[in-house]
Amino acid sequence: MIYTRQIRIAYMAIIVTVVAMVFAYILMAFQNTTSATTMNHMDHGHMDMGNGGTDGHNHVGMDMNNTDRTCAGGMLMFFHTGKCEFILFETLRTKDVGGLVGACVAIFALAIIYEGLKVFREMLLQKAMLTGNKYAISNGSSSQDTMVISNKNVGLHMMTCSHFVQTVLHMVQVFISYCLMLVFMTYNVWLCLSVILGAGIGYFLFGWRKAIVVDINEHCH
Amino acid sequence: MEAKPMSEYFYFSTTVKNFMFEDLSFHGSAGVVCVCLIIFSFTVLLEGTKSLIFYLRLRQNQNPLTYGKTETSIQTERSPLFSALMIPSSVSEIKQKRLKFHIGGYLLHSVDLLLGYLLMLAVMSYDAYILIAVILGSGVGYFVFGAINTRNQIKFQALQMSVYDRYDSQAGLTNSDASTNDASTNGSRYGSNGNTCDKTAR
Repeated sequence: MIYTRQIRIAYMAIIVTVVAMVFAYILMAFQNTTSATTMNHMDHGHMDMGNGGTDGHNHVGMDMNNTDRTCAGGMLMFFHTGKCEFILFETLRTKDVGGLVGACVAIFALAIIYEGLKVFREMLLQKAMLTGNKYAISNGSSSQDTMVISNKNVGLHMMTCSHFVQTVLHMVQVFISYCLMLVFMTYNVWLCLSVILGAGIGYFLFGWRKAIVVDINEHCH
Repeated sequence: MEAKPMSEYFYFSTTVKNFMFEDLSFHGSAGVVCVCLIIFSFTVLLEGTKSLIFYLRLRQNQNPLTYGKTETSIQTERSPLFSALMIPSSVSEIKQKRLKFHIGGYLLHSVDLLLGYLLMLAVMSYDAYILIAVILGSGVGYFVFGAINTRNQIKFQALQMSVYDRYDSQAGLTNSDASTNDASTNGSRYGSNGNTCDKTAR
């Protein structure tokens, strides 16, 4: 491992994004529980103030109904700036600004990790091809024998440990790419912006190591 | 009028309603398995198409001096005359070859796009079984076609390097002594191996 400055920046970026994702998940989970408890508190306050003035009573009642009403409304198929979205799973649901901010940070980190994963896979592939190349060439003593490496070595390339690792990383990359597509499909402006900015900053941090600029493995391209 | 995407989160279900066309629905676990198998084969086809595009690009950027050598049987590649015959002899032939590559690339890219968007729409139905089928299909597809891609890339790189070896040994740029010729071609092969390593690792 060569610890140049850029690699150090990249590693720090990875650690920061992982920490941010964990933080965001905790924040969102916390958000769901605290909103439930605050609603309980407001219920008690409503009952206590029921004997008092009518204006306060109405105000509290409208507040409680508002949090439920702003989160109604189904899937809007145009760009909108709301704060209630389902993020991919039924349990991940944003109800207010805190949850949305957490979701934005998590999606931002996910996009950065996606770009880093692509570059990481390409690095692994080049390393694997270098070792495979040396093996293939040292097989023959003259340049003519290297032509015959073609069909014999497909088995070599398929059953190596590095190819299994590449396959698993490919599946993870496919999953993350479809998840980012589905998050973009929520049509929420803030989530879409976080996807775009995350991809941009991820490319900025990791893209300097790319040899091929346009990847044919990119989905939704 | 219902909202177009039926769900906003992943769900597991034993029926697939209105899959991509209006009244196309599958009921029961057999139907779900059928749909998943179809999506799995589409994903493997997509990976295969990408592998074909990669191979096409490799052939398009192939050194013309190596045209006769992509076959693997030893007889055809041992004779240097065959590769000399394969080099195009006129500009119009070169143009035809380029046109064929462009048309082939265009067709493959359109198939690639079609399959890619079809799979995107399938995953957009938020059915968890379909997502799992897509992920497994991409894994299997990459396992088979990624190995083929690597093999092709190494083959074409070896072809490219063999051109310079032959040029060095025949043009007399290295020592004309036989033993030192072998050693120097070996050294130049490893040397050019190092150069290509540096280029690709940029």
